[in-house]
Amino acid sequence: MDRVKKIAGGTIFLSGLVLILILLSALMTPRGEVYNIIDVEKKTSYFSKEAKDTIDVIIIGDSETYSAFNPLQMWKEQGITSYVCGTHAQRLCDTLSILETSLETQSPELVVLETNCLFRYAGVKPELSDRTLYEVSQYLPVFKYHNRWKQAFSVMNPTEQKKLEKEHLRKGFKLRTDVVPYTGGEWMNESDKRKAFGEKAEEYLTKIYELCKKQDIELVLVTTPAPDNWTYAKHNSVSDWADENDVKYLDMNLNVNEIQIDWAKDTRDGGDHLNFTGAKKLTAYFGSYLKDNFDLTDHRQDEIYSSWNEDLKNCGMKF
Amino acid sequence: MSYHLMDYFAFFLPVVLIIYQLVPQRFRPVALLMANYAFFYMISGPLVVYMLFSTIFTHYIGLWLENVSLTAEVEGKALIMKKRKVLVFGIAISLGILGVLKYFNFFGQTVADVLALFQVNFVYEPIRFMVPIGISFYTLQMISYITDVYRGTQKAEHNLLKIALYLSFFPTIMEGPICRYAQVGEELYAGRSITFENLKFGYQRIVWGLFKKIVIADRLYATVSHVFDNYRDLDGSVIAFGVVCYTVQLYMEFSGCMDIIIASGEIFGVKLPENFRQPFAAKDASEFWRRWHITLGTFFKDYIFYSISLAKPVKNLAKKVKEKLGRNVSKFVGPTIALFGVWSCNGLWHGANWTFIFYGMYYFVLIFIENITEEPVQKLAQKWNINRESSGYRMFQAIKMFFIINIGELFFRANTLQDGFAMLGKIVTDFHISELLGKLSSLKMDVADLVVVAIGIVVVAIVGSLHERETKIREEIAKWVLPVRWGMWYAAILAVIMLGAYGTGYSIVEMIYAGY
Repeated sequence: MDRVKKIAGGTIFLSGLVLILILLSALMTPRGEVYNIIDVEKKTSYFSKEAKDTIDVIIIGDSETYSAFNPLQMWKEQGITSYVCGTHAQRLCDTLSILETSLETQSPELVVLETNCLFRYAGVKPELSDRTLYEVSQYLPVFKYHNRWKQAFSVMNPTEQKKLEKEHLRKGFKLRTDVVPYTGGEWMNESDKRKAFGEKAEEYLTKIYELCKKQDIELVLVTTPAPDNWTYAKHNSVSDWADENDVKYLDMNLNVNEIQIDWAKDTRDGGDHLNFTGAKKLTAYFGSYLKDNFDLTDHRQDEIYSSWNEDLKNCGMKF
Repeated sequence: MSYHLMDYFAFFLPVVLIIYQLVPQRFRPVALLMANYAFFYMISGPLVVYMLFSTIFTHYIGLWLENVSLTAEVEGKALIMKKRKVLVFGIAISLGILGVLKYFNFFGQTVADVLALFQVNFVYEPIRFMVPIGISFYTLQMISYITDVYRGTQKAEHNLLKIALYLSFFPTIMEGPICRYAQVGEELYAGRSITFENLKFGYQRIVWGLFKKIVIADRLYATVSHVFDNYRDLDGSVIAFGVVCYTVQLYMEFSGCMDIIIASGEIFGVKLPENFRQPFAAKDASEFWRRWHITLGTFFKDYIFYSISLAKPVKNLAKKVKEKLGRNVSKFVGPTIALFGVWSCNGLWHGANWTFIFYGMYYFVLIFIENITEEPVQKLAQKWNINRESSGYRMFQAIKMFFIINIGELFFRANTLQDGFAMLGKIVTDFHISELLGKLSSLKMDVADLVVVAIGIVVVAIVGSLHERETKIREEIAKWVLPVRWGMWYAAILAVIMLGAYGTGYSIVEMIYAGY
């Protein structure tokens, strides 16, 4: 009798626990398939503060984007409104999620996708170090999204808030002035080799492409100069996909002389990311490219966009 | 596979428990041994042959020692010498394997560095050895068994399966505790049924261990790494904060994993020795080491300290010193030489790095000073009427220990010895508290992390003080009325799940001591 009582007690206790976890899972699960929910929510919550239908170009991808593209400079030089929706080590599943949320408030002309993220795993699956945790989190997503409670605390961190506000004012660009030169040689030696996309990358890229097509937005693929992570084999693979799908592709690794990148001064980490001076040169080049190749309106004289001039004054950057 | 991963406590352990419970009692030791080897294989693959060899070798040396005693035609000193040869051979092979795998490159590089001082050009190319998991731990268990058989405090075990279980028990293989054969040998072989009580109490302690490891220790990992890797760009106050974070991380991580390990043993009905006993409540460095990594300390005490202090040359030296300088000096000779041996081994055991050797010497000096000043301090306290049990004096001791422990951990964690000194230098000469307050957000830690860590430390401190009063917490909770009791355990489990530093944004932090 005692044994039956103990087994029944244990079973009820565990059932109660599972029930609580199911309820918490329902509470914590975001919509859509997301990997890094904290970064995605941070980005989309700030992006949604932009006035409705005022952004013409959404730039998206990983850390290459917020290191290289400076929207306020592009505004000053070309009158194009853009916003960097890139996040650290962004996976394409998160790219798609950010894009879906962004398109609820904005109707851009272009979506510019930086291609570095095509070469990493693109799905929501976490690192496989704990297989059981992964399997359990498939049924009880609270194990995947439990960290969301931390966002409630972010308002209590004025320094972090200030940093994010500043980043938002700069339309997603992160100002980094460190200099660690790239000292290696030429990295874009022409070849026929192909480097395969990361697992699931093509699947998500197609979803992004179809989403843009459905909303009548042009998708453009770009690669920022980065000798530390880019190769001709990667270039070939992206070119192949772009040709197959009739998508424009600009690989700026092939135009570094034209952009006038100085690897002794323009990178913050030895050729993986550009710094502020590198971004300045790249943005000038890319702004002209957009102006020359797409029918984008110059909004500088438009009253509705006057806040951009205010942001330009307050951004603490000189171009 | 690590003890704090779901792969272990929610998959491997339950599967083993079910199989173990289902097989008849007489086959349970075999089932457990298969689980041990499966666990070892999952981490170290074919290096499991090291474990196999060590088991057969240990078993053989035990039998050899017994055989020498039983068949010897000699007695007294001659017999001891004969047995000693077997003991030395057994220890030399055990330590030899460990030495080659863990220290060969260190000594190779040291030789090259020394030769360079004499302008001899010798470049040492490090050899990449594959090191099996837990070798530092199970080697000490081999030595303790062989020595105990030699000393006659342990009978040689004839059953190879028992030795195999003793050396490879999967909960202890990665981080200890370092067990004696007499403590666990028979229990491991008994094949007792798993009881509901053991299962319940075991998993309760696993939750507690996970709380310390995942909620507190892993949350501090990024900050600690950032500070120790970038100290050159940081203010002394920020470095000091990082060092304290490391001390907390190391304690929560090691003692948390130990909770999971001891709880796993408890479920099988095996009482593993405790490795921690509220170390931060220690009054001095000696007591700290009787409360921190206890099984390592007792190993060194039993097998090194006594062996050295009772060795003939040491005794002779003490005698000579007594003749020349008197008893007040000579009484320190034996213990000090033994202490030096213990702390040299302690430092080296942690790894082939000068930081660890310095760490060992640091505690050697501190404990040596404590030993020689104990009597004068006691006399002074009496003379000046200072109550050494008063709260004021306890506070003084707590502050002293705070500095002693943290400075030790600074060198223990520093990337190099030079880095350790440079960090300490910055703390002393470049300390601006305002810098710390301004930099908190850039230390890979946000307000939420700080709040969780602070609450976690308070909870662990409360539990620690209850343990200090010898309260059996789980037994006490078991007496609570059901709704309150269940509510408490639901809250504990949910705290681990919701507040744990795992998943996206956090990297899995491997167990620190599994690397030693």
